[in-house]
Amino acid sequence: MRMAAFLIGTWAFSFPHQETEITARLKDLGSADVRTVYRAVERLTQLGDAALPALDAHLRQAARPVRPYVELALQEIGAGRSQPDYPKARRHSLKSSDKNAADLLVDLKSRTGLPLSIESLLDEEKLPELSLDLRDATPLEAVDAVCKAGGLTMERDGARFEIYSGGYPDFPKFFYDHYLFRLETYARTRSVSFRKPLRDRLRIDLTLLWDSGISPARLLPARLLEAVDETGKDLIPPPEPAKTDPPAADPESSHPPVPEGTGRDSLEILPPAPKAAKIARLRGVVPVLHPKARVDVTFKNPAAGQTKEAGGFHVTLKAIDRENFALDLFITSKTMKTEELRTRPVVASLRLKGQETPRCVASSGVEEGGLRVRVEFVNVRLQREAGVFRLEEPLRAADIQTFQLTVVTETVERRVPFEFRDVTVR
Amino acid sequence: MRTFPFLCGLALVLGAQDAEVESLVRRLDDDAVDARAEALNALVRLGKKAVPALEKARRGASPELRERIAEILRKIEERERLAVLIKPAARITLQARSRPLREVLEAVGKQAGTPIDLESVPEDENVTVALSKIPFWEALEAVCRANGNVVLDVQGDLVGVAREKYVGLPRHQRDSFAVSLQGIEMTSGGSLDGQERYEEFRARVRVCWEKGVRPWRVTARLAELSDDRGESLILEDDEDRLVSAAQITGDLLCEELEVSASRVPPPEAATLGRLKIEIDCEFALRYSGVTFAGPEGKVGTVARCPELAATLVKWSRNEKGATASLQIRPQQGESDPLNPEEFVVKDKNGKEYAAVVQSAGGGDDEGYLYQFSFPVPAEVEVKELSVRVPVEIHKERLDLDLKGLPLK
Repeated sequence: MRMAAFLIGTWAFSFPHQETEITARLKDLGSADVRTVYRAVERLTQLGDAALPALDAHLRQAARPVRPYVELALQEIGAGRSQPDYPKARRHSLKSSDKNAADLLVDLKSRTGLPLSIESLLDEEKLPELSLDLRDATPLEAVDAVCKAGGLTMERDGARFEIYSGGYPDFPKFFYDHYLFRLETYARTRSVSFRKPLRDRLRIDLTLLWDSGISPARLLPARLLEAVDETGKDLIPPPEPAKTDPPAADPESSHPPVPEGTGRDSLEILPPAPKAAKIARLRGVVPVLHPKARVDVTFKNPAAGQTKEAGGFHVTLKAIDRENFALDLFITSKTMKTEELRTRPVVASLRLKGQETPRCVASSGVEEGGLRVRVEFVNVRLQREAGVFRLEEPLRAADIQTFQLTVVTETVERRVPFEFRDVTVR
Repeated sequence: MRTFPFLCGLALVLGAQDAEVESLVRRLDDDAVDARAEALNALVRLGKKAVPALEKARRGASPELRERIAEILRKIEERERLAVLIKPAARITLQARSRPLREVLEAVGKQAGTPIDLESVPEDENVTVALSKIPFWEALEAVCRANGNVVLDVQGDLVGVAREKYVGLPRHQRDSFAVSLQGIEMTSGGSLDGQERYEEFRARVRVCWEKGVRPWRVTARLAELSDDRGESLILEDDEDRLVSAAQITGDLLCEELEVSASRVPPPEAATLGRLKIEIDCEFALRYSGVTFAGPEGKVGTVARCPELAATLVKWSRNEKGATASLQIRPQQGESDPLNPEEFVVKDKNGKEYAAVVQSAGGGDDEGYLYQFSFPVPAEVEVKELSVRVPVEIHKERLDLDLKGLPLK
């Protein structure tokens, strides 16, 4: 303890201005407001090496509830050192008393670069003016605040965020860096098998959205670190008995790539005690694999039969299936065996002449001597009308201006934290 | 010389039987209703043996008697068909004292004519058990219970055991059939914005039958479900989800079905008030259908029967067999997709090959489009392609009726 006090004192003497902030942020780690806690973690991470002595010292004396956040800040500083190129989410402030939701979203679109699609709002006869005072928010947090104030829904649709009217779904949310975590649905299931004790579990479905500042290659299964109800009951289930089945495949290769901008996972916990109305705390991490090295192959005015070479990959554009809005490609590698190539995430994007970038999905499979890739794209816009989606216009064959295929050759893992407090499961 | 007394004896027996049949036929015209009914039942029980006498009696009979005889002949025919589809239930008798479990189960399987998958039986387990005229499935349960370290495990066409401490499942057994409750799931969920909420009760039952029993379809219906206060958990809108059906193909010996309702007992409930599931094993006694003779040249043609109209859309042969596509339209009302075994090709010797791969699409006004293949060797000439649908069904009902079922 004395040593800790000495370290803090020494460091404080050296950097008096930072010290004031670091002390304040360390105090924030114990806040009852989860946003304040994680904002403090992010700020301490930004301070980086300057915050290390205080964090180290605090780690030794921190009470149990605060300790995970101190550890998280230290871990984030470490991750920042090993991935200096990782782009941190920019923060935005927004104040308005006389703009409607569409105007605010247009403003946010230009400031954040988020691909917001607000066409369906433009059909609205009159949108109310919103009063909003938003400070220090991530891009997704800012959009969510506008949606909440305007009674709007935000959904990810491929590369874009669709905003439409029809009410604001008030799901439990958690914002961190580029990410938005949403708890959307739950299901409590009691299973009676007669041969084993009753199994009682609560599954909570977690949706993860991220902004266009990052492009994860893969999401690994979410890991729960803490789950307690308001009576203090630990909701983390006991480990399942080991199965005799063959071991599961490598989680990295069995968890598919996520080029669509949305990840979904489920958290399985014990149900809260009968007297508990809320889950007091639900905390965990989602390990996200980010591309560390990638090879891009670009076809301009693509045509069947074209080939490209890059980074040891040979890519053949075998066919353009205009009728089904798809491209078929074949990839071989000079350095990787086909089995290894199969585990590499493949992401595709394309631009159509005179149109927005449509949503693209790449699926791959091993074929003799290489990887067969089919890229399907949707050349259609969805409109929501009276609560029902309709096609804006019928499908038609489109001319592709440019097509880019990306093979992620190396990834780096970042553990993205999430935490929800006082979740009511009715 | 020795055969002469035997033949004389046989003639005497047959003569006595003829006399009995003639006497029963005469009693069909008795003034007493009970006597007539008794004679009718006795003649049905006699089966094929009574047919010549009945045919003879029908020729000079009054219209009323002719009708009764026709009814008896129809019932005899139905019994004969059913005998092919439901073999008599096995009755197992054996005594074992510290005998290897594998040996005992093999003996049970042999007596029943339903082989046991002995590879699934642990070699190091013994059992002491005494069975006397016990139905097959009950006998298997008794052996597993007596051993204590295995449970019955029936999958598809394999009857075996799994190493697990014996706990009997809620079940009902009758003759060649057994139904057991495999599990219950009670789910309550919703959206976390508080806008949606739902409940779902699901029960899984496994229906098993002996080898030689050939059901066409098995259905399960959740007839009653109530909590421990007697309150029904079935809502009016649940009708569609209460019933589940499966068509049976090949040599399957079991089928698992799931029925559900849209309410669950409260989380603190320790028991269910009542769970009643009605199981029907259906047997096709008579088929109707259409035939395309020499299907090679019949693409595009339509064949009709009162139940359906079939258009042969495609027919081709290759090394692996024959493939065909048929558009089937029900002639009256809606109908379920057909079972692959209802598509059959015959060779010139009358040998049948049932469809093995099938996909069905449609189900609208145009009916279903079926695509399937038949494992007909390349050298075999196909004489006809038939589609047949059951038009007369016999049902064997098995009820699983459980009261105070513990939820633990």
